Formats: sequence, C-alpha cells, structure tokens
Amino acid sequence: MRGHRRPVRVSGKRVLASVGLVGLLLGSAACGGGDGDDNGPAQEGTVEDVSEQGDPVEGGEITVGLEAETNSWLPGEGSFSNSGTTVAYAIYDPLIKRTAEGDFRPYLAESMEPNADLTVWTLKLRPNVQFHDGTPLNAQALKTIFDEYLTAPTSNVKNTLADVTALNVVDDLTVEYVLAQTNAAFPSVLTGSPGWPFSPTAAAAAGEDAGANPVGTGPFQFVSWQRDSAFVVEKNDNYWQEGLPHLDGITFRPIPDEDTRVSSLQSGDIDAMQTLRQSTVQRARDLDGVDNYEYLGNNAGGSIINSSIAPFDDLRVRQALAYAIDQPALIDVIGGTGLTPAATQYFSPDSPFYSEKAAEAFPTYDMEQAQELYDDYINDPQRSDGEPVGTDLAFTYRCPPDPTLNELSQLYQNFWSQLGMDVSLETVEQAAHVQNGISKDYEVQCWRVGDEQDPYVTLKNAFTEGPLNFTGYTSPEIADGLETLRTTTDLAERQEAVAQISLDISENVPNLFTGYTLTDIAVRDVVKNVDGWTFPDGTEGDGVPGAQAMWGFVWTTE
Amino acid sequence: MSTPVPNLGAPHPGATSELTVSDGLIAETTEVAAAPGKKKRKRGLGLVFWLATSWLVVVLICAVFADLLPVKDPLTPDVINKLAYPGPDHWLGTDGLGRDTLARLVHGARVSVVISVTAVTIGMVVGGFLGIIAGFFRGKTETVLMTIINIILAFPALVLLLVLLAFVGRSLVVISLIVGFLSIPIYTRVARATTLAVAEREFVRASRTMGAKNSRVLAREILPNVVLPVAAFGLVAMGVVIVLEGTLAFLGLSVQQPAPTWGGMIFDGKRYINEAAHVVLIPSIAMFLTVLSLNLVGDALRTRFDVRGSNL
Amino acid sequence: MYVLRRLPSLLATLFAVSLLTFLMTSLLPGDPALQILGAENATPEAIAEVRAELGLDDPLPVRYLAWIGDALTGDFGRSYRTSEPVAEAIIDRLPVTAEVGILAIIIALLVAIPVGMLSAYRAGTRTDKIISSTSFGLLAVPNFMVAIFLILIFSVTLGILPATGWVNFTDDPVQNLRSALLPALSLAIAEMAVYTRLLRTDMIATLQQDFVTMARVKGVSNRRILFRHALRPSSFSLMTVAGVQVGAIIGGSVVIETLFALPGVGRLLLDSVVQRDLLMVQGVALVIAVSYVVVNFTVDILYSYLDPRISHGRSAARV
Repeated sequence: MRGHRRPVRVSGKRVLASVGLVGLLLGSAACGGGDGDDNGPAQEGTVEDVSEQGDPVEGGEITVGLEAETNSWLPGEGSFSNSGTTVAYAIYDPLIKRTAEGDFRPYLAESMEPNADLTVWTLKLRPNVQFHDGTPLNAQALKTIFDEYLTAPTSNVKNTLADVTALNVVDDLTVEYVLAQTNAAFPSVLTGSPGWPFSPTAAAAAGEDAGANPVGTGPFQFVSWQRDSAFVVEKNDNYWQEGLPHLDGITFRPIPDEDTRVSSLQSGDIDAMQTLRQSTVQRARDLDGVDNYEYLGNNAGGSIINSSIAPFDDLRVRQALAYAIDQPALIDVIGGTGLTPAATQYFSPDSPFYSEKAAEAFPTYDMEQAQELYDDYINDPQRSDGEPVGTDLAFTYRCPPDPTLNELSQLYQNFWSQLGMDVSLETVEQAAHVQNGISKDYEVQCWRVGDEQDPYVTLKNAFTEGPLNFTGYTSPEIADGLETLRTTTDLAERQEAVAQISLDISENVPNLFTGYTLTDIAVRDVVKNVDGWTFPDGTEGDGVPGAQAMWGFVWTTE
Repeated sequence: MSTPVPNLGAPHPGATSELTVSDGLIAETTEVAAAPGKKKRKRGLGLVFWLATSWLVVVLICAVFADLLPVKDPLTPDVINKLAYPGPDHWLGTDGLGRDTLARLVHGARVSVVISVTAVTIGMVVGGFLGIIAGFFRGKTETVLMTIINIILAFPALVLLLVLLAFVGRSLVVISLIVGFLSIPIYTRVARATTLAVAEREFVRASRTMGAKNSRVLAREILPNVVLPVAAFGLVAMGVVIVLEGTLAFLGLSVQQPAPTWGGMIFDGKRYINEAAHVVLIPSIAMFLTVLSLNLVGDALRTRFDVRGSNL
Repeated sequence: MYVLRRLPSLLATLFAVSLLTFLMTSLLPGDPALQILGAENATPEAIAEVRAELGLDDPLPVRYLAWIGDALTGDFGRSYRTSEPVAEAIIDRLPVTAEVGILAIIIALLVAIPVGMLSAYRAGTRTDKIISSTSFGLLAVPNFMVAIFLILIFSVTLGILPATGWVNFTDDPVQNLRSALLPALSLAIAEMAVYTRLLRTDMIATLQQDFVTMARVKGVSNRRILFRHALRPSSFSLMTVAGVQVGAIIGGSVVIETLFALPGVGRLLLDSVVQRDLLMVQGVALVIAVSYVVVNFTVDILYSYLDPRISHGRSAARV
C-alpha cells in the first residue's frame, strides 16, 4: 500500500497544539535534545523512511512510551501536553480536526457552520454515537459539559472559551456556540480539550475522581491508570466508526528520561515512543527495525526579550541581540542539524502561513551589524536605560534546568559577551520560569513559541495587551492583522494578514529563534499506519502533528 | 546514625556517610569496650596510598591554581569542534559545546574541592560541637539537640534546596553551605556517640570526681579524644560530597552555569553516551579516581589513628 | 516506658517537619494557581478565582492550622494538580518505593555478608585489600551513571531485563520482580559496598574477643565460628544502617525512580514540588518523616533483640 519514501506531513495541515502550560513546558524542554552533527543524513525533516505498511491486521496490543504523565484526563482540569493529547485521542474524539490540507473539518461532529458575521457557530452531532458508558452523545451532553466543567471557575480552558457567551441547545443533535464577537478561527478551539466530549453522567458520578476515570466516545475505552506508570485502554467494541479500532488495547507509559525511553524501545519494552527532542529523533533514525513518523511543526524554540523594560524597549538592543547569534550553531548544539531549518517566524516553511518576506527580514548572524547597533545604543546620550554613555549592558538570561538548555544558554551568553554585554545565566525552575514570563519579571529568557492552532489564536495571545503577551510587544500593524484574521475566513486574505504580522515581528525582534521542532513517533516496524488516519468521509488527516497519533487507525503485525 | 540528605534519594551520599560514621564509631566503641587487641601497627602505607595521595595533590593543585595552569579556556564555546575525540589539540577531547575537557576538569576541580572542604568543615565543626555538648551534658540539652537533628534528617532536603536556591541563587558558596548544613546531623551523631563512650572512661570519671570544672573536662579530656575519630572521616566524607554534587547536577541544582563542575559535566555528557562516550566517561573517571583516592587515604589514616587511639 | 520517653521528641519532630515543609513550599516562587490554569489561561481574574477557590489567599497560619486540623483526622486533602486524594496517592506509591528499596537491601546483604566476612577473616591480606578497594570504587560513581550502565548492559545489549515498565506485585509477581531488579540493583551497588565495610570492621573486632578465642581453642571450625558465633554480635552497625536506609529510600530515590520510570514516592515528591502541589508535598514530607522516625525506633528495639545485654539507654547512645 504505502511506498517507501514519502513526504512527511508538515505544518499547516494539522490540528491541535499543546494546549496549556504543560505543553509550553515540555516544549521548552524539547528545545533540549543533544548533539546531532556528524551522523545526520542531511534531510531537513522532509523525508522519512517507513517500512512497507501492508493491509490492516486486527487485534494485538502495543505499549507506547510517553514524555510525561498527565495530571488529569478531564477536559478543563487536565493539562494536555503533546503526550497527554496523544493519549486523549485514544479515549476521546475531537469534534473538529485538521485535514492534510490544513482546513478544519468536523471529525466527531457531523457539521459545523457559522452564520454570516461569524458570531454564531452551529454544530451538528452524528446520530447514535454513545459514550463508553452508554450515555448518548447529544446536544444536552455538550451543554452540560460546557456549563459545568469547561467554564467552571478552576477550568483551565475558561480563557480559551472566553469569547463564547453561551452554548444553546437547538435540537437533540444540534447546538450553537454564541460568540461575543466575530471569530473566524473558532473551530480551531474545538480541536483541543474544549472539543473532546466526555460522558457528563460518568463525570458527575465520579465527582472529584472524574479526572482519573475518563469516559469518552473514542476508539478505546479506559481500563486502568497507575499514575506515572501505566494508562491502559482496551478496544471499544461499540465504536461509531465501522472497522475501527484495529488494536485490542494500548498501554501508555510515561518515561520522562529521554535516554531510558530510547533504551526501552531498543530492548522491546515498548513498541512506540514519542519525542520532541532533536537529538532523540536523530538517534531513533539510526535504530534498526524502527520506523519514524516525523512532523515538522510550527513550534520553535528560542528566547523572548522583555520589550517592556529598558534597555530592551530599544529596537537597537533587540536587533543587536538577534544579529549576534549564529542560529546554525545553536541548532547544532540542540542536535537539530540536518533535521530542522532555522526558524524565523511563528510558522514553519511548510505552513500555508509562512512568509518569505518575514524570513528575509529576520536578522541573520552578522557580528559587525550587531556591534554597530550595540555601540550606537550604549553611546547614545538618550539611551533608554538612563545609564551613562559608554556603559555596557548587563543582564540575566534565564532558563529552566535541562542539559540541552544549559548548553544553549551558554552559547547565547558567549555570543552576546562578544559584543561587550555582561550576561549572567540563571537556572530557574519551570514553575518559576513561567511565572516570570507571565509577570514579565525577566530580561531575556528561554521560551518556546508557536503551535498548531489557528494563527489568530496563537498571535492574539502573543501580541495583544495582557499577561500572555510575554514579550510585552504590540504594534498597530499586528493589531490590524489580527483584526483581519478574526473577521475573515478567506485563506488568501488571512495569509496576507499573517505575513504582515510576521514581517513586523521580524523587524522588531521581540523573539529569537533556534529551529522548528521536528517531532517524532518512533515505532518498532511491526506497528503500522501511525500517521495514516482519515476523516469519516475519507478526507486525509493531518498525520502526527506534535507526535500525537490517532491510535484507532494503528495496527500491529505481531 | 543516618543519612545526611535522606530525601534527595541519593543512596551514595547517604550510604557512604553511614559507612564513615559507623566505621569510625564502631572502631572507637569496640576498642573502648573490647579493650586493646590489635597488634598490627606501624606498617608502611604502601604504594596505593602514595598513588592516591599524589592524585589528590594533583586535584588540589588544579583547584587552587586553575587560572594559572596552561590549559585552554574552559568557557568559550567552539561549536565546530564539539564532541572531538582526545587528540593533540584537545588531550581529553571536547564537550557538547566544543570546550576543552581537560580545561573544564581542571577548573571543575575547584568546585569539587570547595564544596567538599567547606561542607565537611561546617559539618565537623558545628556538628562536632553539638554532638559533644549533647553527649557530655545529656539530659534535656541532649533531648532538644537530638530532636533538632532528627528534624533536619527527617525533612525533605529537596524542598530545602529548592527554596534556598530560588532565593539565594546557586553560587558555589551557597551550595557549599547548604550541603554543609545538611551534613551536620551525621557529625553530631558521631561526636555524640564518641563522647558518650569517652565520658565513661576512667580518666574522665577520675577527672570529674576530682572536681574538675565541666569546661575543663570538655577541653582537656573529651575534645582531644573526640576530634581524631571525627576528623579521620573527613576525607571519606569529602568523597561523599563530591559524588553528591553529581546528584545535584542531575536534579539541576548544582552550581550555576557556565562554571564547570564534574557532576555537571557528567550529567550534560550523559546524552552523548552512545556516540561520544568519552564526553561522559572522562569526567566520570576523574570523579571516580578522586573519590576512590579519598577513601583509600582516609581508610589508611583512620587505621593509624585507631591504633594510636587504643594506646591511650 | 521507653516508647513514652521518646514520644514528645517524636511528636515534636513530626510537627516541625510538617510546619517547615509547609512554610518553605509556600515560599517557593511560582503560583500554584498558575500551575493549575496553564500559561494560556492565566489571566489575572482566573488566577484570583482559583486562588480564592483553593483558599490560597488566607494567611499562612490559617492555612497551616486548617491543614493540620484535617490531617489529624486522617484527611490530607486532595492534590491541587490532579484532584487525587493525597493519602491515596501516597498509599499507591509507597509499595513501589518500599519494594525496590527492600530488594536493594536484600541484594546488598546477600553480597555483603559473605564478602564482608571474608574480608574480615582475611584482614590485611591481598583479598581484603581488593575487596576494600572495590567497595570504595563502587561508592565513587554517581547513581545515575550506575543506572545508565545497568540499562545498557542488561536491557539494551543482553535483553534479559526490562529497562522500564513497572508491574505491580499483585498483577504478576514474576514480572514484578523482573521490573524491580534493575532499579534495585542500581541502589544496591552503593549499599553493598557500605555493608561490606561495616561488617568487616565489626567482624574484625568480634573475632578478637575472648569467646571467639575460646571457640577456637575448643576446635570449632572456622566456618562455624564465623557464621554461628561471630555474625550476630557483628551485625549491629549493619542493622542500624540497613534499617535507616529503609527510611532514606522511602524518602525518595528521586533519581532512580525518574530514570527507571517507576511510580514511586520519590518521583511524586519531585513532581509535586516542581508543580507547587502544596498539599501533596506536605503529605509526602510527613510520610517521610514518619517512616524515618518509625524505622529509627525499630532499629533501637532490634538492638535489644540482637543482644539482650544492651539496654535501651545504650542503644540510644549508639543511634
């Protein structure tokens, strides 16, 4: 069926992103990864080798190694990172998912249509779909979930749904989401945990333990969960999609240490594993009898600059920082050489929203230019930090503890010191690191940007006033572009708007980048069809973005 | 007896301190109890002892004169040459950022030496003092002191480390002080046990019966007899602390980058084990040799001290 | 009587540990509410709402008293992060940590007792020196390196033991032992060195005592002297240390559990601290303190079992 070499599915055609904090954290860890170098076949994440797939085989069980454990499986309570999301797709079905072409398309839902001004979105459910406990999936179920869980005070998706003023039941299988304002990107929201229906009766019965007893509509149903060890699911015999799933069961095991996870795949303790680290991808490519399902996403590692404080409020300083770093060297250190291209914006070259112009405008390594900008600033009598003319800048670069980030930050330090800046490094625990970002209590720090959501969602969070605007940067151009993104569904117009925003970001450099993250699901080659999922109507899906697979479509020949 | 940092879960530090403590404690008490018996004395220290001592001297020289020694720059990255194998340019190869491993080992020795010496000194002085007080005065003083010691031991050290490092920063001095603080209980226990044993001896009793003041008995009779056994384990305990630094690096709690540390080098090099194993093996061997030497030398010296002790 | 005498000190220890843990964890930068919401939803309003919901805005003393009041009735609360009952979480994980730890001690003792006795019996000879140097060497490698080597050898190269994949004893005892073996071995490496040294020292002293000489004179065989006469009186330090190690292990083999992906208490503590899961940290800290206290106490009692001549006062002096 499937040929040998084929293009990897790439950005622009994918859904779901790591939602929430954990995604962000794992992301920043993922810009970890090691070495790379010599052994790399110089394929920049575009081609992969996968064994012959053959015809589907029914039955069999597999074990999947994950990067991290998830705190809870209840949407609104769980922080679904890449590893959490891939597990969730076994027990839940997303209402909306993304196609290979990058459109949002109903998956569990039958249809989703907006009104003329994009303020009311009407969603129709499929008839005769049941949760694992037999509760029917109907409009009332969606309403209960929305009212009692997703918008509860401690819900972690409340802000994501802030624009939704109400969810109304139209008939037994139809609901409408009423928005406070026009939002062309709304379907994107339902690809994430707000769009994973779970049985409201089961959740109510389990009360506070609902997060440990997930009941969805997905291809597999929950069997048992031992935290930090094993999450076990078995085949859902009443699955609404005929002929799925192929497997009898899956055990998901969180194995936080990258080296141990690879060792476990080598020794056969696990049949599949996910990774976001470039060095691990490199190693997995070299293993015999292992197929790699890779995906080059919009997510990129790098740094954020706090443009709300002096001296970083001055464009010359930010540009000097950007011109002084040798991106290929940074990528080499994280092990991404030959895997990932240098990032220049929030969207990867494979995304429909990638902008050539913005890429050209982004500063590339040029020490002279950097020195000129830097000297110009420190010798400026009007310099924004009020220091005497000629005084060198001194600031702290912060990163969470991680071997790769350690090396990365030392490299940054080295580049900037060459300009004369006095850069100290500080290792900050993850929790405090994110807090610092939100309260803008930092100067320059490691960060990870971009996700697989609609550009409106991603860019609005990052560049409008508010705590999630970590860099503190805003501009009329960006606001203008966002307005277009919010109000139109026309792809060309939206691309133009994103390009305008990306160009503004390139020129004003609130962000620095390393490379886009190449994610990977590495499997023993008996595990097949990891990225070959389709929509119920046969439309090709977006593969394995962020190492998240649709497990219902996977089979094993063992 | 117990472990210095039980909740870090590092078996080595804990375990080894047990060794140090108990070893000495047993040697001391059994001698006291079982009276003189040993006849092996005044034997040469042997080749191994001198080899170990030489290695320790080399490490010490590196630590003290790191800046003066003719080694390459340990800090400046040179990504093109990363993970180089040992060769004429880089005698011990380079790390993941292309920095000379030899230079980083030499500079890293400073961290190992400072942490271990500071921590052991603090532990010995403060812990030893508290232990003697507790063992000599007994009663309420002892109960209170030992309860405090138990609290330190039963408290999750991980939490303490995270809090202190978050507020004070992870400088070499701060980490040395924290590790020193955490090792106080061990020394307190050794010193107290030894004091209890010594206080029972004839000469101390005699001195007390003759009406000597507490302070005099403490200074003249107890202290000299407690100091040696406690000090004899200092070297071994230093080894424990050096290994502990590796565990701290694993947890991301060692000295702030870019300062090279042996534990940090091992931990950062761990992921290269398949393709460039020397990056992780060379610092591991340096640490291994150092800790081994400390143990061998400490053991040899302890045997000597013990022999003298039984002559008292 | 002895129990009663130690009681106030034990209670004071537990109280102080819980209070200190509470204060310190609360002091850590990084808002628990932020951890719950995630960066994407951490609007000031949402944070305020969550803080109010969790009672995080109450003054520290009020929060501590509320916690300890509940804890005294056996209610340790629910985790902020997972809404799992704290007590349940700890009870689930304790057996894992305990099993690996006890297995480690058993392995270590199985090696250390014969080797330590041999070393003592041959004290000063080449055999003794080789054993001593080897023990010192085993202590000189950070445990995460030991674990990595063991995985490379036994899982990746030989393929005879699993690197990861914990199986509960109740599900499958054989697989359970297999999954516990490598982590236990990683812990045992250092411990066997310690035990060997301890036993050697004690044994040398014992062998010089009169009753041993008497036995020799009577013509009792060496093996019998070593195992029947000398071992028991030589195992005090071993007992103390092996006992207290249990406390240390429950305290969390953070490193080993992370590397081998074990669902143990150590990993729970680390994750909870990192995620600012205050109630969970509190619960784990308390369990560690209790186990530490209980184990120390048990070791004291064991002393008198090992050698009835030793009074509690004396054993207290030793511990």
